[in-house]
Amino acid sequence: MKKLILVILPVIFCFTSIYAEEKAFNLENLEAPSTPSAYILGLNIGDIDTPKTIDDLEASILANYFDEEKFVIPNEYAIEINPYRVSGQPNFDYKAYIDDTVINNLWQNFSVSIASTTEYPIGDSTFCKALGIGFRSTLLRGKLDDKDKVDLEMLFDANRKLLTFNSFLMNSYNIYLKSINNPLQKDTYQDKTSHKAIILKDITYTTASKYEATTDVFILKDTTFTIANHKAITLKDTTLKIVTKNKVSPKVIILKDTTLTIATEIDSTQKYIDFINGYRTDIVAKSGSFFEVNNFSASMKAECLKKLDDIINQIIQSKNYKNIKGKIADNFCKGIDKSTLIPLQKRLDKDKLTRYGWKWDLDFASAYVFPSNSFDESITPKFGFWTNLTWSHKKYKDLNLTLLGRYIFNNEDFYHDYSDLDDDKIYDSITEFGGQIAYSEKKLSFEIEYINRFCESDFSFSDEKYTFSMNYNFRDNIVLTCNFGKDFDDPNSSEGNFISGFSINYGIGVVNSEDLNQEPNKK
Amino acid sequence: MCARSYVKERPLKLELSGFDNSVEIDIFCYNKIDVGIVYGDESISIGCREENPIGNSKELKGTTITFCCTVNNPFEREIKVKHIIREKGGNTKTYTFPGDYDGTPQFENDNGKTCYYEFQVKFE
Repeated sequence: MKKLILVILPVIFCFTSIYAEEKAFNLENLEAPSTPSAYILGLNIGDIDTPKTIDDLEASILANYFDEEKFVIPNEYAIEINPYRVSGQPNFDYKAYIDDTVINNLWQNFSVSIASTTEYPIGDSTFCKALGIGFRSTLLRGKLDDKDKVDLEMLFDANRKLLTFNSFLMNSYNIYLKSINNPLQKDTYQDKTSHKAIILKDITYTTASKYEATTDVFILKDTTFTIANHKAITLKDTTLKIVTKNKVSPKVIILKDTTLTIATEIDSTQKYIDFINGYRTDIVAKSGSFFEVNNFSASMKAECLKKLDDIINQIIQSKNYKNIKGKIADNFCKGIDKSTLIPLQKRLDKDKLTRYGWKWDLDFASAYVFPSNSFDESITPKFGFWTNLTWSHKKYKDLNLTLLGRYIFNNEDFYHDYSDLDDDKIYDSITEFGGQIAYSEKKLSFEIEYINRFCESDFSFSDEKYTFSMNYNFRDNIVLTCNFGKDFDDPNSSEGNFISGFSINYGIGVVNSEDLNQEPNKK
Repeated sequence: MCARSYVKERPLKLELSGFDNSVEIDIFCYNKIDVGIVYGDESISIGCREENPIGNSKELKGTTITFCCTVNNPFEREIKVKHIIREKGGNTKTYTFPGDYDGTPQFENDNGKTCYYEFQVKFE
């Protein structure tokens, strides 16, 4: 293979140009155009606005269709709205996602598009404003492998059960806390003792310390002391007036006939451990009926209780008992992500590529032209509908066979009045039928297309297009492209064209994160 | 550790007639999310698209019920759940999470990861 490439490459270089683009030229392929409304106007809009929420939609309309509060038609702009998506897909059903049912497909994929231009040609090199309005939807979107289907259903089900179990844990926590009269409230010990004399040594003054320098008197008022034997001693409503020498803060204070309020924290570790273990026992006792009502399998039950055990043990080991409930919820939620959410997301990504069987799209679009640039006068130059029916085999999903049918109705009056075309170049309607075979895998992809076009008017005209296109990825940034075929004779020019070409596409290549992280001197 | 639990601070207040009417909760999920909700002493569990009786207006009057909810979105979209609590023929209260959430920490989850939220309804 390498020898063959070495022979072919220099030959190809002789006939090719080098591009930094992905493709040398565009082939009309049989997939639905980016949006039907743009297609009917003959616009090639790369960046179609697809608002996903009501707010996005409102912002798009205001930004593009209004200028200083006046309605305007933007040039070369298209917006496509999927009402189901904009409405936030209320009450989406996973089963409906997995199944391939026509009614669900039609509603979930239905979209309305509006495209506009201010440069629609109407002859004599003059242009006017035009709007395209289109609708499209999907009747069939292909089936999932039985194995994928079962796996997805199991993952959805397991995810739902874990979510419910976490809520059950929290509900049970609230009930348990209430039932044992909330022992986790502030843990302090109060002691009021009268003392004949107390000597405070190595005093740290923490609050409200006052020092009067001029009188060598040290006054302490409502002060909290920290001393070795107690965590805190608070003197309330007491003022100590201590005479000191040489303005030195006293290291020793003797309090006589004084009542001290001693507030000290209790070591509550055991209390918390007892509480958590009590909660664990309570959950185990209650969970039996919960598992039964919610159809948990034996393995699911074991998984849930094991997760709870792990979280509780982790809290006990950390000896940090702040916000126990929040810790259980946070950790359980993380566990759900790991065990079902992330696998589910990976599966859904894969699913996008692995549907097989019949896929069927329907499109309709109509164009509206305003020759006098006033909304009072509009003409429909053309409207049309088209459909793609694709099939792929369960075992060979990389290979797709597609059939296309397209019908475009042209308003002859419009073309007679507003175009430079000769009468024999104006058609009542254009009907196209065609097919495509497309194969795409990691290195190699190719497409073979054939379309037959029938143009109807006072006379009939038939034309055809066939193309072959192949790409071979040598590396990420080097692609060998080969195109060959015959395009349509343009109904407006009657000049045929033959397309062929080889090209090597060079890309700059993807920047790796390693490159960015490299230190400059190591580059 | 990044917070995953969001407890609403102020309870919702729903004024009940005190008659023999049924009080229900309806759950509406948006953006393809899934949710598991458990409430009451008997740990009743419900999910998206479901409606469930909470009890009778006469019995519920003067009580408070906590709704414990865990939610995620496998499609990595924004989380949004609407809960409508209503007495048949009477008043209605709506709580939308996270739109109406008023607690701390501030809600942060735009990629649909699993999180827990809780709210209380005080029946007056």
